[in-house]
Amino acid sequence: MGFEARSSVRTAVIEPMSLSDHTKPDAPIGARLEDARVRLLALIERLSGLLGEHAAPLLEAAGRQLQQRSCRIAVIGQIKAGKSTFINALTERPGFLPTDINPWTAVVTALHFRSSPMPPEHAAVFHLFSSEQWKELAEGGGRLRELTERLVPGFQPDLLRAQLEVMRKRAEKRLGAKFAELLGQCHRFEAVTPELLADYVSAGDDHASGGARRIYSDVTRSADLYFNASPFAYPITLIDTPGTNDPFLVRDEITRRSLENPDIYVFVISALQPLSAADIYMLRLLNGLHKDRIVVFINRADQLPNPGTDAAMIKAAVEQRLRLEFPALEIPVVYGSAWLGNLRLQSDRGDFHASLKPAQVKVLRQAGLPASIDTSSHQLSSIDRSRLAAAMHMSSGMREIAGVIARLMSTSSIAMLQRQIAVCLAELARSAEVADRAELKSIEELIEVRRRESASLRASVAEEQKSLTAFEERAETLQASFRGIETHFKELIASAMQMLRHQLSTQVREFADEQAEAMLDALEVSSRHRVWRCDVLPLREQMERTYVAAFEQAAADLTRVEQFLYPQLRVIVASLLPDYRGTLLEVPAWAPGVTPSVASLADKVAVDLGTPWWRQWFAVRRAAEERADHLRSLIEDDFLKIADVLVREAEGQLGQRVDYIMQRVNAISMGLRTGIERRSANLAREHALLDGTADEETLMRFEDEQGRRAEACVRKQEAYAAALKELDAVLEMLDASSGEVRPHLQ
Amino acid sequence: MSADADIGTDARSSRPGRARIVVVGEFNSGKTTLVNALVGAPVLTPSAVARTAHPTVVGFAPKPSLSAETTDRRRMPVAWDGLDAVAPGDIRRLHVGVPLERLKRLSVVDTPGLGLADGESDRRSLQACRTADAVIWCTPAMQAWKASEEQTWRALPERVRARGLLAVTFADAIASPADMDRLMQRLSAEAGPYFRRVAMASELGSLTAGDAAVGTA
Ligand SMILES: Nc1nc2c(ncn2[C@@H]2O[C@H](COP(=O)(O)OP(=O)(O)OP(=O)(O)O)[C@@H](O)[C@H]2O)c(=O)[nH]1
Ligand SMILES: Nc1nc2c(ncn2[C@@H]2O[C@H](COP(=O)(O)OP(=O)(O)OP(=O)(O)O)[C@@H](O)[C@H]2O)c(=O)[nH]1
Ligand SMILES: [Mg+2]
Ligand SMILES: [Mg+2]
Repeated sequence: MGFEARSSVRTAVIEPMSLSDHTKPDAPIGARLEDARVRLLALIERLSGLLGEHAAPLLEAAGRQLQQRSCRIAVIGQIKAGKSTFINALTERPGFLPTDINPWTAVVTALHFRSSPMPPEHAAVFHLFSSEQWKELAEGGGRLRELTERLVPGFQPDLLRAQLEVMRKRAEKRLGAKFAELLGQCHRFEAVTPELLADYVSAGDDHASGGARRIYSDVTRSADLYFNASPFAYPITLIDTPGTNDPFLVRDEITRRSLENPDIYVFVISALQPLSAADIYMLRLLNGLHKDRIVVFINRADQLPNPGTDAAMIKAAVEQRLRLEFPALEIPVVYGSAWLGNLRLQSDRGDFHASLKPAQVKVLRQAGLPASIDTSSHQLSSIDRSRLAAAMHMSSGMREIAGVIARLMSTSSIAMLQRQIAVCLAELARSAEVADRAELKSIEELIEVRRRESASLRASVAEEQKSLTAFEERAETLQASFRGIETHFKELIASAMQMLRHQLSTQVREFADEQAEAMLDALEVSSRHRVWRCDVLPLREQMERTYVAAFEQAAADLTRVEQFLYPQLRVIVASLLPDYRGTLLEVPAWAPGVTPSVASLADKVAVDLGTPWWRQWFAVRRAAEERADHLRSLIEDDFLKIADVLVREAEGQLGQRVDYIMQRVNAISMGLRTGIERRSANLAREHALLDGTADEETLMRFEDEQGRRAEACVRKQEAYAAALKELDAVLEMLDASSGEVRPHLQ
Repeated sequence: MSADADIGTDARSSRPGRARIVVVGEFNSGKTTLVNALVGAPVLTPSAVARTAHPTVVGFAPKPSLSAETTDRRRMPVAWDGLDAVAPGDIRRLHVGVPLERLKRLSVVDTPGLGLADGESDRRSLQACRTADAVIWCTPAMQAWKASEEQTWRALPERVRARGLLAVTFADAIASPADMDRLMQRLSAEAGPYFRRVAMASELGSLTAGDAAVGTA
């Protein structure tokens, strides 16, 4: 078995790569999304010239979303898995982020990549903790301390206290006794230098002689780095995080808080210790956050004694374990070496291959390195070096992981957003086209009638008048009914959420009761109660199921009501153009399957704390009943709060959905109405001509104008048709690229 | 108490005067490799893929031998490739006998790796520490001393920890000696307080029975 990159998405079929493949450059990550983004932005530009004012707010909002939405990719994993090294390889900036043998990344660091001709105003922005945040963290121990306090009142674990003391002392030593004055500051720089990153992001050594530099990482809350030369097609933000399972508990806590937003998680594990209990625990948390946006990268394959054979076996074992733990998920697994990924980028150095070990060379041979290239020679020709670099690229797994990330992106909420915008634009274009066509028809009819016999012109004008009035009335009723429906939407959400709140809190209370019972039973059976621990995972899972089900039910109800809107709109369309056979308003507005974040379910709660805490808890003398009450309230307090956050999250999401639906429906009906208004104005002038004493010249001018109007209508219709064709193409592309990844999900 | 019974059968009555070293740590941390180094011969097979399945006592025997001790304390000879035939739950531990002088004064116990989410196996490995004269905790240099290791180690009784030695394995995977120095500094500062000594595994190959016995003194 080679060490070569192989397909890792179980549902996708990728042909095995051969040597000739490495010479062919891959499309950069996010190429399709970027293509769709650029085309949609151009369409918005085109449509805003064609559509009336009524569409402007909608178009602007869509444009803003397309401009601003970047893909957030978080790189997470245990300390020293090689996360920072991985980012350096993926972004093709060897040695950019500081790496080290000791736990090193101390600050959540966002690298913002966006291809743009304009350099960013600042290349690096560091936010320091505010004094409240620092106080909470350094003096109180923040959430961790709070949890501990609640579990064992009056007890502060020595460990945490000692660590926090170390942190404060260190900050003082590094920044001076008055370091508190720095808090709340934001430091901006025009260029990123290695020293800057070392000062703000790296943990730093305690023992190293300090020197003149001030190390801020202890008091830095977040780091943002901006690049306008991007190796990616689509705007991407890569997030480096402090390693988890760090004995320095504070850092673990910092990482946990950064887990909420990302679109994709790259979970880096070490091939030398693949998928430990700590990894599984972390994946469980993520599973609660984002169901299917995870890819596992097995790093350090180059360090295996037999990289060629072991890596493939380890990958198979990891996949099997993941299937067992998360049967409902498809988590792609890729193995490789971030170290090789960096090394291959340094092929301009003649001896860049000096550190390769024989076992690694063997793997490179399998990845296509020709036997004619002697890796033991000190200097290689540039041709040989580039072939060696190509084999390294292959073995590093970076190519394969780039492919997986690109595929995950094409099913992410970004692709969904783009799809939604495309559908919305199409509806706007179609409704405008309908209004336009109706206008053209009426102009043509009137011109026709006037040409033939002026006697019947009066009758025709009266006819048009009647139909416009009828339309106005209908539109009026429709507008009123929209308002009614909006109220109905709101009531629907309110009652669904009330019900959800009730269900969740019942579950929490029942679970708390059961646990208290179970503990009492355990205490009765054995005095060695230290072995009893409360496992809240089942509660988390139960709450998640209830939550997702309730959300989906409410969303389905909204969709049902929404469907009721369309026939009404279609009636209007039919009254304008009885023979209209287009597809206006036939596409459901909302892509199914979008669920809100369940991040708060992953919040650490008191009963999650480790064995030492439990031992302390049991060590405190208490009557069994009292202990049971305390346990009950520990569970209830934390989880009722979580239930509250969940309900508010769902409420917010559903509310947004309703706003979006209403905005769209209103825009469409407004679009139809502006066409009518133009016709009414037209008609008024026709009246003036009929009633007044129009001379020949006025009449001619009027007819000319009518002709130009008709022509404009025809031109616009062509423009709409072209825009619709382009939109269809964009939609087709979005569907095609998302279909590739999970053909059989749901 | 089972712990006392262990000492009675092995350390005191049947093998008087022989010190016992138990090697523990998370999975793939180089325990089996270190056991071989301590024994001075490649008796067990280290692997990046296959895991050590049972606590394995390597001790002296006039002729090379392998036997399985079952949960009901019976011993039966087995072959390495015949182990699968015994139901895994039935095996309490394995005994490997090797005709090496060194092992007349010293027995070395390899244990299944910790942290694979199998609580029962973890319990078995940690249990083995209680009868040891010296306990060596292996931590790999590339990813040394994680919170999970610290937690597990600190949960052991003080009496066991007092005989503890932190061994840094995979030192050869670290190319730069300066890096290695910085790692050792961190470990001395962070883990040092919980061990009798922090050392590189490569320094332990010559550990003698006398050194190990210091733990009991
Ligand atoms: N041989 C080898 N070394 C690697 C590989 N990946 C990372 N390293 C090395 O391992 C060390 C740690 O890498 P980092 O990138 O700092 O690890 P990290 O996960 O960011 O660590 P923290 O930020 O402390 O959590 C560095 O010395 C890297 O050069 C790999 O694939 N192979
Ligand atoms: N380079 C290097 N490889 C090592 C070292 N120690 C162990 N290995 C390799 O790492 C892998 C795991 O080593 P083992 O000794 O089997 O580790 P273990 O702790 O016994 O593993 P489990 O029994 O699965 O818990 C094997 O492939 C060893 O060859 C070391 O010091 N340096
Ligand atoms: Mg890092
Ligand atoms: Mg082993």
